[in-house]
This record gives sequence, structure tokens and C-alpha cells, in this order.
Amino acid sequence: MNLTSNFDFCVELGISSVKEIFHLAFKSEHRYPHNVGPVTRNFSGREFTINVRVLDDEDKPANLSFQDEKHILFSFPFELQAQTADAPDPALSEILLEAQANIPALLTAWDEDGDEVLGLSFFGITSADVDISDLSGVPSIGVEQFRNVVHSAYEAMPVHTFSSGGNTVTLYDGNRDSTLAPPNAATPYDIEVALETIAAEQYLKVTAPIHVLIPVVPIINIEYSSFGRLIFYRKIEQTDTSVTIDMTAEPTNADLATTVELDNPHFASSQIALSLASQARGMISAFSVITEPAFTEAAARQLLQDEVATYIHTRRYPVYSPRSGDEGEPLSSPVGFLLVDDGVLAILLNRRSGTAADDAVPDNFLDGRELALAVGAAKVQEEIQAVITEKFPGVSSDDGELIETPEGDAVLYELNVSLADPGEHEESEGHLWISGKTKVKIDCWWDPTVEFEGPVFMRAHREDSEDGCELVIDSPVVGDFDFDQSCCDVFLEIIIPIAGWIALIVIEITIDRVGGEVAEDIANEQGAIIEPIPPVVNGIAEITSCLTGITVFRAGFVFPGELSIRRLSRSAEDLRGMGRMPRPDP
Amino acid sequence: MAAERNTPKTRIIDIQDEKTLGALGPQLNRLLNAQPGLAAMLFINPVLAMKEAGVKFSRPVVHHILSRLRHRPALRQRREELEAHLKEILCELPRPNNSAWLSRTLFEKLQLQALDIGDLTPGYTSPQDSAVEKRLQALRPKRTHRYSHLPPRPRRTGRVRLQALPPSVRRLDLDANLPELKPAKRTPKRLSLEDLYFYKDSSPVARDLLELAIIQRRGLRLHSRYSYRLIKEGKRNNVFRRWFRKVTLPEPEIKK
Repeated sequence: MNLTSNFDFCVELGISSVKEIFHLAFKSEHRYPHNVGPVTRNFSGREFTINVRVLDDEDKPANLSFQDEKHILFSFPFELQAQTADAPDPALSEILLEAQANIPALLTAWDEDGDEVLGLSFFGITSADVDISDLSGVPSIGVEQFRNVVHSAYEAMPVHTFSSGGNTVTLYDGNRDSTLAPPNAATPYDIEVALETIAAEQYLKVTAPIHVLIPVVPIINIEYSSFGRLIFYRKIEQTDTSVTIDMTAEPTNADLATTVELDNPHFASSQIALSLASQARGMISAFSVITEPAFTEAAARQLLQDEVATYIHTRRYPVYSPRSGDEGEPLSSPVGFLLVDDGVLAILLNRRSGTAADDAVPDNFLDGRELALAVGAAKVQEEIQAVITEKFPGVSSDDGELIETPEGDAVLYELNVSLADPGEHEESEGHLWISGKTKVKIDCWWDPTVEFEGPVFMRAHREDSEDGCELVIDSPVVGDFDFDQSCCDVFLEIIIPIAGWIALIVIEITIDRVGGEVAEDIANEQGAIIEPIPPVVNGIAEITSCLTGITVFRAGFVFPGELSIRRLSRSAEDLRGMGRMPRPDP
Repeated sequence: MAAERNTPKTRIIDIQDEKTLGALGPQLNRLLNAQPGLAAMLFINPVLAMKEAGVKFSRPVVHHILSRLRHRPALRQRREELEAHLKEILCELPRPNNSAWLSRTLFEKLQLQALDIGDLTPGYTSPQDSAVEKRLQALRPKRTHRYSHLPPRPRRTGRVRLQALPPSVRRLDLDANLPELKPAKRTPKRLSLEDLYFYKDSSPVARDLLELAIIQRRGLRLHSRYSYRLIKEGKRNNVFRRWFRKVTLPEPEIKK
């Protein structure tokens, strides 16, 4: 098993803890403002006011998943409101695009308040990195929208009665202009529009009710008046962000020429209609150029990508914030890896060999728990040797280490402690394998040299009290023996304390080097008050962690644990939930 | 005086006295070294292990070997003193490891008042050398105060500590002060050594009995023939049998 790769220590957290920290980070408005804007953007010459909202609530939660060794894919619900002041169709003057924005964040370390933190960074994210899914709110531009546009343009026209050469043409659109005389009795009553595709071009066909008054019809010299219809085509020009109809430009296609139909029969009505048609072009030009905001889905997607990238590309938040507390002894930079299939965040500390290029992903030793700390075999061996050297300084020297007890004396020449996996030495549990050589002093006989070896099982358990949790390192177990067996007892009293000290020292060094805190000694005991991992994520969360045991592997020790995460500060949302919002002065 | 007998199966060395035992020592060592499987059994019962190796001892030699192996000289002398002294006072062989005998002796023969011990536990001497412990303490990392700026909250989220070694009668502290105890309402029928500890200052005999019990527990436990067989066959766990892989006795030189 690879517990710590080329590092001394590793902390593993489950994806649920990472999510919990993320949701708390996201509640920090200074890191993630939930409302951005208004900002002004110009699309096709039209000014838009943009407001962006980023959500993470019960209805629209943000989420994350592990993408690869170094990236977490975040999924944010985004809402983008685009407003333009003078859209011809009021319904199109505001659109609300809603989408899920999927953005990768890099798991990396940086300096924050003088300490290296490990966290997730969106630095450098561009539009191309943002994936938009579940997009909704893109308005579809159909005949209804064009009808509204034309109605709106009609109302915007300064006059609806057009005179030329004594002839008067009155343009109606229902009763939108009630001042007109005669009142509208034309068919259709309202201006009607239709979309027609002709020679691969899209045209708007407009049928507008009119009234025609000709005081003196040439040649016959009589008055003629009639309701009727003005029928014309205008080409629709669509870009990614707008739809434009230039009412001033008549299509060159003769089939699409403007025509006038009159209801009152007259032998010269066709000539009258023909002459009115040319007059009508000027009248139609009064509709001017109509431009309507109209995002295509591709354009809406791009707009969101751009705005999301602008929002996110300077944001990051820490997940693991170890502090040194001593400028002279800085902690090593944490290096993170994501175990995608297992949903585990592994944080390596203290590179033991190689360079960053040699860093490799450790195995999952979290085993479904919330937290686990591991220390590599090489580091454990260092501490084992230190304990042996301090406990038995003479071991490995020619004279050996004289051990004197009331029960008898012995000289210890060799003592080795190695780590063993479950299954080794026919033991189902991981263990320390202790071997050595000693000469036992026997009264009035030749002193036998004893070579010994055997397993020591390291166990610990959690105890809880009002003061918090406690990891109690059980007296190491050497097997199923009656402890109170005189000389056996003495032998075990020599072996067992070594294992206990190894466990205690390794645990404390691990806590110290992963940025936890060995705060103070417990009075009169071999123990300390500890914070197993950094108890705070900068500006985001408080972490309470408890170690629950020890597991021995050939690759090192694992200390499983549990943790709970709570928010470091309170927001208005929290206060509202607690019913403690500030009240107005009485 | 020794005699070597050849039987169809094995050659038996018969040792009748201590002088012969000393003279044949290197030969015995060679014999035992040649049978590695037996070596660890020397710590279970050396006489039975030797017998398996083909060495037979007379009863006085057996007594000599066992008494020498059980205790180092100073303890052996103190044990003999205590046994003789207590036998004289009690008019019988002292048996402090027998809880019924202890109860009868203290409460009937010595007429001591039974004490209400309750949940009290005896004091034990530390098996650790304080100088060594100090050196080991130095290996622990320095205490740090990295997160002192945290807002008020239960700071003691965790502790870690070493569990004390299991108490052992061998380490009962004869010199520790005892609390004042009230008389018990009933006289116990049995008295453990842990309970006897609370009578050590009530009577010199009680103290001597406790000291004798401690010395007895400090001796090498020599297993019975039955227990020896179970251990050898792996039917009973024993730390020596489990841990001692090889025992080598010196062969060439002769120890005086």
C-alpha cells in the first residue's frame, strides 16, 4: 500500500468534507459575491445592462465532483439578466438566462497570510473553460414577437396619416390611434405579420389596414375613398444577438413589391392602387429600422461563458490551511491529489525524496471514513530508531545495553522494529515486528544468548468526555498472554513501552507536521491536548477532528479520525435562520 | 557422580550432584544447543527441558537448579528470611497467593479489622527509568500555539495519551502511603493481594506477607509437567515459547 508516496505525511479527506468546506466558502460573500452587476455590455450597437446571480441553495444547489488528479469540476447555477432600455418589443427588453455553469478548479497551494494553504483556484479560467448546461431563458423570435415589434413601431411613428398630392392615406393598427378619421373599418383590423422564406431569405410580410382618400380622381374628376390593405415585405436580418428589419429598404425582388388592395370597387382602382403603392414606400419608411435584442442559443451560451469566466477567474478558496506558528520553522507546502474513483482528497506534506515531478498519488487509506492521517514507513523508522537509541543507548554497540531489573539482568545487543502488513507473520492484523538478541544473566550457570522476535499489536481507542475526544493509545499487545507472569512480565515491560512511545511520538510528530497543534501536555501523563489537523480553514470554517485509532501497515501508520465542520463566521442568512436579525429601533 | 546409560532409544546422562552438574555444564549446553526446539522451553521449566534432552537430575540437583533460577541471590535470601520468619509467627508455611488462606490468617489468626476498601486501587512503582523517560520525552515535538486567534469555543477537541501499563503485583509499592479506611461491614472470605496491600501498615505480618507475595511473583515461573506439555504442543500460549526463536548456551568456556 502506498500511504504517503514520496512524502512523510498524508492527510485524506472524503469528498463530502470537501463539499462541506466548499458550501461554506461559497457563503462567504467576499470570496464569492452572489450578485454581480450591473455591468454594461454592447451587443449589435445596443446597450445592455447585465446582472449576474450565482446560486447555492436548496432549490438550486451548487455542486462539485472530482474531475482528475488535480481538478475539481464545480457546477454553479447561474442566472444572467440582460436588460435593454428601448427594445421595440417590451417582452424582449429583458431576458433571464438560467444555466448550470461547469467550471474546473485547480487543486493547488498558495500563500495566504504568510502560510501555504492548499485550496481550489479558478485563476486563469477563460470562457473556453466554462461549460454551459441546462440553458434556459433564450427567447425564441417568432411571428408573435415580430407582430409586437411592428405594433410597437407603429405606436412610435409620429403620424399615421400621410398626404401626397392631395391624396391621403391613413395607416391603422387596430385602434392604437383613436384620433384617426375615419375610424378604422379596414380588414384586417390590426396590422398582421407573417414570416415567409423566399429564396432562402427570411422576410416579414406585413398586411396593414389603410384608408385612402383621393379628392379628385384624374380624368373622371370625382372623389374616391376606400378602406383597404397595404401589403409589403421586408427582409429580416438576424445576428447572434439581434434581429433587424430595415423598413426603409424594399426588396429588389419584383414579386415582393409593395402592393395596395382597395375594398371599394372602381374601374380605375387598379391604377389608383398602383399609384398609392409608390406613395406607400415613404409611409412604410416611417417604421424606420427596427432592431430587436434576440440572442441565439449559441450567443446566449457564449454570453454566459464570458460572464462566468469574468466572474470566476480571480476566485479561489482554501481547503486546508496549516499554520506554522513559528516563522523559523515553516511547514512544508501541502501538495494535493484527488483520487477520483474513491472520492478522496489526499494532502501530502514533507516531501521526503525527489522533486515535484516525482510526486505521485497515494492510495486510498481513508476507507470510507471522514478523515485519516498517515505517516510513511521511512519516517516511522526514523522515530523507531530515535526511541531505541534513547531507551537503549548501548544497543548495537559491542558491550550492548545492560538492563537491570529486580528479577534479573540481561544485556541487550540487538533490537529491531519493523512494520508489517496484515497477513505477514501469520497475523491477520498489521503489527510491529520486533526482533533482537540479548544475553540473559543466570546465577551460577552460563548466560544463554536469546534471539527473539514477535509481533506487537498497536491499538488505540477513542474516549469522549465533556472536554472533548481523546485518543487513548492502548498498552501494546504482544499476544494472548497472561501479563502478570513474573519474568514474562519483565520481558514485556521492556518491549511494550518502546511500542507505546513509538506510537505517541509518531502521532504527535504527524500532527505537528501536518499543521495540527500539539497544544499542551496533559499534566502528569504521557499525552497532550491536540488538534489533529488544522482546526481552521482560513476565513471559512472551523474544523473539529478526533482521532479514533491506529492501524499499522508495512508502508506506515494510519490514524483514522472523524471531523465536523462549521462555519467560521455568521452571515445574515445564519442570523435569519436563528431569528436574530437586527431589529429597527423602537 | 554421573552415569551414562545407553538405552535403545537415547543416551541418558544421569546427574546426581551439583559438582557433576558443574563439570558437565559445557556438555549439557552442547546437548541443548543441538536441539533448538527445546531451547525456549528452558525458560518454561529447565529441568523438564533437560530431561527431554536426555539429562536426568537427582532430587537435590533439581532443587538446586530451580531455586537458583527462580530468583537472583538477594531476592532468594530475602524470600527465605521472610518464609522462615512468617512460618515461626504463623506456625505454618505462609501462602500469601492463596486468597482464602490470606483471609483466614489476617482476620482470624491475626484478628485484624476488615477494612472498607471500596474502589481504591493500590499504588504501583513505575517500571520506567525516569532518566530514560526524560530522554524519550525530548523526542516529542515542541508544543505549539498556532491557532490561538480562534474565536472562543471548546478548544479541547482532542487529546492523545498513552495508556498506563497494566498493573502488576510485582510492582506494588510497599512504601506508598495509605489512606485512612473505615472498618468494613463484613469480613471477606477471600483476600486478594491487591486488597492485602491496604493492610500493609496495619500489621508487620501483613506487610511481610505482601512482600513475600511480591518476591514470589518476581521469580521465574516454573511450569508444571502438564503446563509444560501444553505449552510445548502449542495448546497454551506463552510469551517465551512464542517469542524466543533461538537460545544458545556457551560451549567452550567453563564458568566458575
